[in-house]
Amino acid sequence: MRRDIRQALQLNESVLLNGKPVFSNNGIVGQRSQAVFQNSAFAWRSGITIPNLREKFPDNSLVNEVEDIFASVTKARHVHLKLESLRGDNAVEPTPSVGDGSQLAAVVTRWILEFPETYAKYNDFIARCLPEMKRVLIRSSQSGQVRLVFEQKDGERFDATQVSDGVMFFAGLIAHALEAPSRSLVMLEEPERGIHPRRLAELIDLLRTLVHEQQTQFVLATHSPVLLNLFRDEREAVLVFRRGPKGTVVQRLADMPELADTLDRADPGELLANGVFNESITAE
Amino acid sequence: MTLTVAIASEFDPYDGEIYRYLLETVLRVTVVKWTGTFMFSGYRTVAKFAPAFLTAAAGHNIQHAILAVDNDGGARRRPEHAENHEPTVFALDDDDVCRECWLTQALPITWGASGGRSCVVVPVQVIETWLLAIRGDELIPTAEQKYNRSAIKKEFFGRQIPPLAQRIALAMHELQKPNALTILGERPSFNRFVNRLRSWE
Repeated sequence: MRRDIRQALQLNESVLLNGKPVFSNNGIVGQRSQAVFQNSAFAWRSGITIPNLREKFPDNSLVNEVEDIFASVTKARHVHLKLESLRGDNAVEPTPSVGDGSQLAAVVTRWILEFPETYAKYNDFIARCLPEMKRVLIRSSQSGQVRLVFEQKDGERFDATQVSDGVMFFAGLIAHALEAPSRSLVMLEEPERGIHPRRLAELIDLLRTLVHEQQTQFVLATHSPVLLNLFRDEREAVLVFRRGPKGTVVQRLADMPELADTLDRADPGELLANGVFNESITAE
Repeated sequence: MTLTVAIASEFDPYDGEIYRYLLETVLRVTVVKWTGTFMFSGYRTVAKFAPAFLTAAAGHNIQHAILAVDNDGGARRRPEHAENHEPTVFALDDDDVCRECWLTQALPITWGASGGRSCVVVPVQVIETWLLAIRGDELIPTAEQKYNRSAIKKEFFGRQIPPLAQRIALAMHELQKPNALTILGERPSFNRFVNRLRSWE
């Protein structure tokens, strides 16, 4: 089926979604590296249809294939946390969502009250990845709003305005991962932000645990060599976004034979840090 | 008796735990793993940080150390170690050489001079090769397997690399089999590891 798409596209019939090329014979194409990450998935969710595709490619199998590809992202959540939102006070709501972090405290409050197992898991993750921390608590203000409080193993407590950026980002990321329904797709932008490189391995291991237990799928966009190296034995899971004159081309690291020998001698993180991927783009 | 051993391996939470267990099994003592605040990521970092790592270990009165990397090679590249290899000075980025010789020369002279004992371990091709051997898998690697570490890892773990706790559990499931050491004894790279450990006794 995928080959059908390729054959069709080799006729230079670009597949357009919302007026933008989405597939070319090189793979997925967007105007910017985030195009696939944001525009395609979220424009699709916002109501793009594919009538043009049906006209251009009467073969239903092709359309079905495109729909299959996008079906997994229609319910995806795109995680882009904002520090100021994470640190803020929240009103208690019946069904809060972490979002950009602005309802994190409300979400944790709900877990404490209604979903103690999720709350226990959240604290377990926090304690595993932030060894100085014991658990996350909630402090309510006189105005009825709630704020996160982090309790260290020594008993000392710090509220959300006092802990480091890394702790706040991590607390938000883990909440998103736990909040995601089973079998959903979660897109994390630069999960390394503010997190000590040494802790990234633990973060990825937590995500692997959720993949295993809940069949949650994670897509991580990263510029971190340390994080990338954690996938050095899963080259097929690494997509390299390469910006070229015709837009951004996405290729699996496993499908880049020109780099196979180099990858045998260096970790993918080294290639990222030293511009080897960029050079491959220029060469194209 | 408890022995604290500084273990520098490619991915400490997993490889390090396997080596710690193997040390206990071979030496028949309780082994506590020490890595300090060091974080190794890949074979090159093990050699690169070895001097600082062992200096730090000595500062904690630790006298035993393991340096471990995978061979990741084959006949054309990174030949398996042989006892007749001449001591050679390798650059850190020499890549097609015997990794045991390469890693051994990364040991600082001061470590041995001050009584520190060390053991260089290089499973051929990767640590999962040992685990596959215990599991009873056919160990005549294809050309791809011989040069592609991830292919061997997937052969052991399956297509999707599982979470750390499960990886360790899978490894321990093999290593704790009663005949594990006997089977591993047929692997030359494991034998060299054991012989070096025995010199600690």
